[in-house]
Amino acid sequence: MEERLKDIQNSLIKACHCWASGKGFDPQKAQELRRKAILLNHRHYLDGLPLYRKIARDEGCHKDSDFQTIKEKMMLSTDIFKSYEQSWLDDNNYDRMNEWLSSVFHKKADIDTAGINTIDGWIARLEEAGIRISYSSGTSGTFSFVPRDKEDWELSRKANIAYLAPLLINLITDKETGNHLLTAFANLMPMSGLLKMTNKKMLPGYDAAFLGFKSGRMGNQALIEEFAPLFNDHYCLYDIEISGSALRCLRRGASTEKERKLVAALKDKITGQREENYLRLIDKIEKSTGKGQKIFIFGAPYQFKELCEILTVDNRKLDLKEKSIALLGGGWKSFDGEAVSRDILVEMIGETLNIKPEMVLEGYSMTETSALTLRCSYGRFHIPPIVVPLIFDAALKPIEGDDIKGAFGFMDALATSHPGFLISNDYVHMVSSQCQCGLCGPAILEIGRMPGSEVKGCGGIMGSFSA
Amino acid sequence: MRSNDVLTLKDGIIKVPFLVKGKLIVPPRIDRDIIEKAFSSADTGTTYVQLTEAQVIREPVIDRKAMKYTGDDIYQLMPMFTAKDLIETDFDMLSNTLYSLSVDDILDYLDTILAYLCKNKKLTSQIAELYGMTSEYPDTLLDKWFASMTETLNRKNALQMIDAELSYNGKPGRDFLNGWVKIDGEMSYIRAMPTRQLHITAGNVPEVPIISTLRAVLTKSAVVIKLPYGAILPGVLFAMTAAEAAPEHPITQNLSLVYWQGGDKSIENELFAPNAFDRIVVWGGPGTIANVQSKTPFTKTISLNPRYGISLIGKEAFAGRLQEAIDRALTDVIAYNQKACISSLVHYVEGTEEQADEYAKCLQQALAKWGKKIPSFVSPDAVGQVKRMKRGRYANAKWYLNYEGEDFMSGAVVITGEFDILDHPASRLVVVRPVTILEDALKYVHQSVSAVGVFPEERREELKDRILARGVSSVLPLGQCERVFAGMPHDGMMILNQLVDWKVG
Repeated sequence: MEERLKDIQNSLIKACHCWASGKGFDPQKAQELRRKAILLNHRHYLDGLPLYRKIARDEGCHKDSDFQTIKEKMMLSTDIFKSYEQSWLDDNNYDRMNEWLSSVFHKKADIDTAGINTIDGWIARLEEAGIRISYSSGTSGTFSFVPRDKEDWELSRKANIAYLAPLLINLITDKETGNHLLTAFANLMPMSGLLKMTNKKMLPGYDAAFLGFKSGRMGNQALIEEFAPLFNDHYCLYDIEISGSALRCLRRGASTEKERKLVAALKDKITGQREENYLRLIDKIEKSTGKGQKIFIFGAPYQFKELCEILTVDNRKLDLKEKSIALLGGGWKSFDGEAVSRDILVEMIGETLNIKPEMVLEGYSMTETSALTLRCSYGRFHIPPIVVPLIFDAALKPIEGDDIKGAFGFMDALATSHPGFLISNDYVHMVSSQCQCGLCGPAILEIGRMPGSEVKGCGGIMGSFSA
Repeated sequence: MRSNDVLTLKDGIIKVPFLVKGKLIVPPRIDRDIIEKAFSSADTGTTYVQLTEAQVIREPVIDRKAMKYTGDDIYQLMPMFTAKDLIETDFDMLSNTLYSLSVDDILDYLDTILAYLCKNKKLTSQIAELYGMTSEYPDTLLDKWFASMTETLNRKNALQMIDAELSYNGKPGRDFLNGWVKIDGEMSYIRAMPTRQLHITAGNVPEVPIISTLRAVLTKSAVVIKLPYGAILPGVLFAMTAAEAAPEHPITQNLSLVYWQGGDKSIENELFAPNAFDRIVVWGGPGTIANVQSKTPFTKTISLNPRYGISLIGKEAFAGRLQEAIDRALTDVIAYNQKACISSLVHYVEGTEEQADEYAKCLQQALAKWGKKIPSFVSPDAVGQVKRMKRGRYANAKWYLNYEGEDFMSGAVVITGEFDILDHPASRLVVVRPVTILEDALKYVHQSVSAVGVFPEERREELKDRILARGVSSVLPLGQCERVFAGMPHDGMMILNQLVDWKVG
């Protein structure tokens, strides 16, 4: 079954490439492949994921359940990756964490935990054993740990490059000088060749500036590590690693002197030296530009806003070369909840960085999915054919239609090592129709919280509390 | 007198009047197709739109027998007004009229209101019927609540509130509200001076706008009550009664009961400006509280924060008293369907995991029995949240749920690890947390916990002060957390005392 599943997944990755390049994509065939992969994954999860098996038992599902039943009963909350007990982390009980991880991972995570006393140590040891953990941190400091094996990770990487390369090619190809090699590479090179190329510097004319940390596994940070090797050179806003331990202490509060120092150092780097960090990054960008390099900048919208504001206060502008790119990702609110206006930000980026509006891209993804989606120039985040997007109503029943709003869920055909049938906490507006940009299939128009009534109640909760 | 077409349901529309400084204002007639068009161009879940001449709230109709959405909506059509219409700046007028009223005048006013309500039962039943069409509460609770209005507004209770909450130096509160009182052994006099108040109320419980209005009336305030989404009509009952029973009374003349959408800058920028009001009282969700607090740094604000209740069950329950504990615990759970700040959401059970399971199973049965007797509305959000919990962060927990068809109705879940209170659906679900000793639960007790019910009584006595020291407002015998009396503290405050300005002269 594994061979069959891998074949289907590889076929889907090829289909993604066809879809993005507009050549020979067969939506019907892609749908069949996705459904086959999903049914095979369902059986695989039943065999290998104890927690999935428990939920299936509770919901009356079995190995022969059909696609519709899985859609209605086996869509898990993304919070499944938080279903461990906080006390295990507090007590450095990584044997219990291993046990828990084994319930959401398709193999037993039986690494030796001797000497492990931090989240980062645990993650590093898992990595040595071929289990790669991505994590995200909620405001309460409860981490989602998403485990993937190397095969899943590699499939995901290949898939993203297979469809992102053709999508980006028109943007980055310089028609005057004619980067024919790159165009040919993306449009004509057979898939096998394309995927072999993914470890090389695919964008030698670009240097990358990442508005994040040198390394880490959280949210945008994980993407930085994936993107970085594609560029001629790259640099980060913070020249330190962001550790899981420090982040958890930052959210939940430090309890030891060591933790207090860790938090103090992180705070100093992020807030105390905020301006210096940006100025250093700006200097590096200027040097790259001086060498004739185009610049690719990746960060959250509020970070772009900070970058532009610091330039403005310093009475400076960056005259980035044409075809430089700004890629926004990670939501439109700052840490303190202040909303950032897209239109204003695009204007600021244009004025201070000289990046044209069409070169300001926006990505949407989450730790739990294989797919990164890009917002096209018509405002749609197109969902690649490796994923079945689903919309759920407030009662978490799936809604059908070509123009629907609700909680965003997805069945990730490439997720074999962890449960990939998930409902997120995002509320979206999804449409399914041919877009003027040339792409077909489902796309997300808006991402945010469910519009609705005012919050009722004095009987309620002011914030997150352990109870 | 009111026009015939207000507060009646016609073509799915209810014309809702507001009271603005004693005058009833009525929305214009607007056809349903115009309203529906406005909503259709807004987002699917939108519950409020503003038209040129009116504002409209959309609420889904609930079938009272099945306690499920029917699929129909009701539109509450409400009039427009400006912030300037609401703010009072004529201090001399206030000083000569409203602020000069005696406590007897206030009590007489309440008598007039009550007499009108008793004589015009049709108005109450008309509003109760309309309110019931969209209320998530069972009819029995609504009937009880509308009937209890006479208790809430009666003279004896009102006087008790004034005397208790404004008492000073051993003297009853009425003395200070009536005028200057000489302080024994001092040359000075002291007085409880009325204030101009803005109350931003919450709709989780229909009493809230009435309680806020009563507090303002008792303190002779020139007041604006912002009625809440979900409980506009109970507030309008008071507005109609005041306008019809005592239209010229200074209290009515300085009373406004209105609605605007929270966050509307055209209204709030002026109402929240310095010197627009002397006191702001805010009830509500975290967003509302944070919004108001951030915008009113120079006005004294009384925040009635969102809070919740918990229960502590001692090991004595497992010594042949389990059913007694369950019966008592159920009372605190079903209070306002877990929507009020005293409703119990989490039960800490002293015992083993097996005993916690036993407790949860018994509670599940008790909830099922209660649900059959008084069916409850369970919102789609709550159904969805329970699914998220079961198929997510709490997938490893032990679930004891009652279903109707495929829909969650009530139940209990035993969670051995920490539980994030933000995950609670607050809809007849009890989170049961086993603890080795009851004291272990103290680390989960903080200012956001409003009420704690403890079983048995001797354990309550033992733990009471330690619980209260952590910021809880009341520690009561299990099953009695809903207990109220006139003049009692609210969120650790004597609210009337906060609403007046204590003057020395």
